[in-house]
Amino acid sequence: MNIDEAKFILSAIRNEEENLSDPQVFEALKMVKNNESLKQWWTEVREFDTAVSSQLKKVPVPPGLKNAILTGVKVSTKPKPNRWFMIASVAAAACLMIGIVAWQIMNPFSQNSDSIATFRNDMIQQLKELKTLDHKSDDPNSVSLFFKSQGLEITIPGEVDDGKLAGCKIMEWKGHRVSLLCYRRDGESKADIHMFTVDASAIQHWNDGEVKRTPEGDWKSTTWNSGDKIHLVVMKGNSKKNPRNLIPLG
Amino acid sequence: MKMKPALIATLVDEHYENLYRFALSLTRNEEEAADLTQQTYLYLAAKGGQIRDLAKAKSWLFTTLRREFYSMRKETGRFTAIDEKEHLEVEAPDNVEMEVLKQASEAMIMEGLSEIREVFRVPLALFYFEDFSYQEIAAILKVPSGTVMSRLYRGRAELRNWLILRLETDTTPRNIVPLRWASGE
Repeated sequence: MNIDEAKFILSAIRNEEENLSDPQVFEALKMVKNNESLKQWWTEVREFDTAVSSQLKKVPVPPGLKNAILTGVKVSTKPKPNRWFMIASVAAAACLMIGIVAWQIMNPFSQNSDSIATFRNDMIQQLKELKTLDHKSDDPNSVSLFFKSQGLEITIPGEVDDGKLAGCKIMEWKGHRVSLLCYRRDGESKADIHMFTVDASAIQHWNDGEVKRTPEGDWKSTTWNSGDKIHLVVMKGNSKKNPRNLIPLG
Repeated sequence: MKMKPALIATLVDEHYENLYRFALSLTRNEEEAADLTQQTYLYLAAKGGQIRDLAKAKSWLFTTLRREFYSMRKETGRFTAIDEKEHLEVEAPDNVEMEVLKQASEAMIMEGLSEIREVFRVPLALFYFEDFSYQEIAAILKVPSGTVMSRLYRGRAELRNWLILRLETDTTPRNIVPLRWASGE
C-alpha cells in the first residue's frame, strides 16, 4: 500500500478503532503510526470533518416539524372513519367554506386586515410580552435560512446603524405571518431595534411608497413598504436616536 | 406491519433533525425536505414493524428517505441520472485549510454541500449528519465499500474547494440591504 492508497482509506474512517477488522484499514492505520506526514494529513482531515459535521448539525430545523411528524403518524395509524361519516364531514366542510367565502366577499376588510396604527400597536404589545426568539443568531445567512425553512422570503439587514442582529421570530397577525428581526445595541441609552415585516395585503389603505413616522411617545417607529411587504421598525423611546429617519438605503 | 407509537416517538426524537438536514442536502428545498422527512416517518409507522433489529432503524430511515427522494424525482421528472464515470478527476485535499473553515457558517457549509455533485453529496451527508461508517453508508447506498471510500474522498475535496472559492469571491451574505440613519437628527 502506498501513501495515496492509505489516504484514500483513511479519509473514510474517523478514528484508530474504527473498522480494524478490515485488513486494508488495518494496514493504513499501521502506516499512520510510522509516517509523520501521513499522520499530520489525517489529523487535518479529521479536524475538517469534525468542524464541518458540527456546523452542519446547527442547520435549523423547522420548529413545527416534529409535531407535524408525530401528528401525521398519529392520524395515519388511527382507524379509518366510516363512509357516511366522511360524506357528512365533507358536506359540512363545504357548507362552512361557502359561508366563509360569502362573508368575506361582503366584508373585504373584515378580520384579515387592519390599519397600520393597529398593526403598530399590536406589534408593540407583542414586544412587551416577548420572552424568547425562535432563532438566535447574528449571522444574516443563518436567519435567512431559518425564514426560508418556514416558507418566508425576508430581506434581512445585516446591521441597523450600530445595532447587531440578535435573532428572529415569526408571529401571527390577522391570519398573516409577521417576521420579527431583533437588533441589539450596546451602550447606555441605546434601545434595541425591532423590525417587523408583513404582507402589504394585511394593512388597509396603505399607499405604495408611503413612509409613516411616529416620533413621539414611548415607542418610536417608522413604517415603509418595499414591493408587497410592509416594514415597521420600532424602538423604545428615551434614547438619543430614534427610528423616525431609519429607512433602507439599498 | 405497524410499529408501536412510543417507539416511533423515540425514533422521531433521535433522528428527525438530521433526517431533515439530510433531506435538505438532497432536495435543496425546505418544504420538500420537510415533506420527505414526514413521509419517511409515515412509512416507518406503517411498515416499521418489519424491522427486526432496532439498531438498524436509523439506517432504515435514511435508506427509505433516499429511496423516496429518487422516487419523487422520477415522478416529477426532475431526476437526473448519476454517471460517476464522468466525474473522476478531482483534486485531493493534501492540506486541509482549517482557517477557511473557521470563517464558514453552517449556512455556507450547507450551501456548499448542496452545490457539490449528487454522487458525492449523498455519502458525504450521511457521513457528516449521522456519523455513519463507510460500511453503513455502503449498505444504505447498496454499493461496494471501496466506492463509498472513493466518493467520500472526492466529495470532501469538492466541498473544501467550493468553500475556499466561496470565501475568496463572496463574503457578503445574500439578501442583505444596509440600513443607516438618514440625516436630519
